[in-house]
Amino acid sequence: MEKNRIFTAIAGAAAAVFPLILGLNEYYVFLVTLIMLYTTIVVAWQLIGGLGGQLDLGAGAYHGLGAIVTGYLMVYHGISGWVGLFAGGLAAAGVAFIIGYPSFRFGLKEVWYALSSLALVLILQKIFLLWTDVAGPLERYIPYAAFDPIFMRSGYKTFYYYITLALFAATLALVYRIRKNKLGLYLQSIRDNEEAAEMLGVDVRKYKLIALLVYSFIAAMTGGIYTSMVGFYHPTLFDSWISIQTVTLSIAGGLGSLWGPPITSLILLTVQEYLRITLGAVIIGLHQVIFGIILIFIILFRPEGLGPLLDTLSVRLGLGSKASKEM
Amino acid sequence: MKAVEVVNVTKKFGALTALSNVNMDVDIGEIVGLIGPNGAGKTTLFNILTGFLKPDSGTVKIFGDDVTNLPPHKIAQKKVARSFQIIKPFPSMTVLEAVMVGGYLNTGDEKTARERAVEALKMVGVNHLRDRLAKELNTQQLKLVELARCLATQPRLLLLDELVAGLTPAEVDRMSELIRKLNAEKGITILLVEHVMRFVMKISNRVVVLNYGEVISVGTPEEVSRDHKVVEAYLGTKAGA
Repeated sequence: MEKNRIFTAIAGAAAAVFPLILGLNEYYVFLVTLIMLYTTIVVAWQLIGGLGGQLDLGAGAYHGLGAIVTGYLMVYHGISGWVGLFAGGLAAAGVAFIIGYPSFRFGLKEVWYALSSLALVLILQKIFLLWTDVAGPLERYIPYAAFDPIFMRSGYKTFYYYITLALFAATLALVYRIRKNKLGLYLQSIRDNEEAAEMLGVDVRKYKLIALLVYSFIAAMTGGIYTSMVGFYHPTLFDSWISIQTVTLSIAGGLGSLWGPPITSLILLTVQEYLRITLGAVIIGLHQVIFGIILIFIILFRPEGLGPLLDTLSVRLGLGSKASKEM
Repeated sequence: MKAVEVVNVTKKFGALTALSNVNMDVDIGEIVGLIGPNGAGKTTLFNILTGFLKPDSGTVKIFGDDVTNLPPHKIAQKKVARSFQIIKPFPSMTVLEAVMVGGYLNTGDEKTARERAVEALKMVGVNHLRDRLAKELNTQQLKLVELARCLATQPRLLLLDELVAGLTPAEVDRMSELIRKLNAEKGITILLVEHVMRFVMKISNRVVVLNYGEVISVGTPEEVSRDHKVVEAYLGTKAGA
């Protein structure tokens, strides 16, 4: 436990001064913030996917919804992005409820659930392309401000770095806590065997829905931060690539593992960005090919993902422990 | 009040009548065996009792409450636990975690859930396995863990679907001792579906025989084994008759 705290303190301190290490280089801080934003979605996805076992491909929809709601409120109503983050979160959770309730009610599972959640991304994109009062085919720009923390708008990317870091840390802490309590255990039992879980008194529908709502809320918040950081919004932010990336990184990281998905996500997204910068302009798309090959190798040689490896490592280092060892 | 009351239950799957106007009951504190040839409707009746299937007509009462249209998790809250014919383990969880899922029924407190789980593991005699993963265990161990999972919910009624199928005679004897103990010491009412006659006849107070979805005989193990309808159901009628 003591070691755990020291590790958390060191990681926290390193994260806190990281922009300085990058020499406050706007471009690098921007990239690191992006990587952390996408990793936050990966961590939140562990609730519905890693623990709950539902192959949800709706991340792009919730991320996009958060971006559009936050952006719309900032552009058209001058409402602060801070309010937008929560409004976007609520909107996404609302849509998730409308989709999730009937899906779970009628036992939509596995690939069918995956496809219907992916369809949500495309449907929302089309709706907002046509809904010109809110979005439409043109990019909508958020008024520039050099530094306006109350409006949540800043020209300095470091500002967004810290907002993202806070959300990332809070999401990690939340998922860590949930894993160890009733909700986490119930979700795992649903993933492992729904009928057996139900017979033990687990309200399968309710717990899936809770996981979906929390995850969609957080995914929407990442969208809100993103849109304020880049300064515009557009329906292409409903991006099915985000859905696929989230699931792929989670699988490569090890479904249900604690450290696997976030660490794998941070590493692989960094590699991807590095490849994009160095090779992306040499042959267009080459970085994605190499990224794909890396993923194929991980899944071929470590089908259970990198998670078990990383979790063993963390136990070796005396960090984190199996729940049962504590008694 | 009875532990289980099944009144005029009929269930059809298309043209096949799985249960036809079934009436049966289980008194509180009893051990009742439910037997019958393959396809007699035993598991269908269990699925109706636990809410996985809805009957086409008829009602099911458990401890006096009508549970006919309740889903399984609501029936579990009425202090009913069930083991499955084909074991349904939680492969990626440790044994303790799996049993704690049962222990969390009607409580959100981790300590309570853990205490209930450990007590259940000890009662069944598999506490030494608690840090192992379900996927590392053999069939007998998995069946015992599944029983512990049921007990952690602190049931008043336990439905056991072919608990001893696939076990060796020595293991069957240990299991019957355990079931008797749960019944005598914990006051748990038990309804069990079983093919292993030696086991059913030894531990049941009463036996209900189903054949082609109908109750053909009810009585003590001795009465039932002498009933010619039961003998016919299992062995067929005399040649030419």
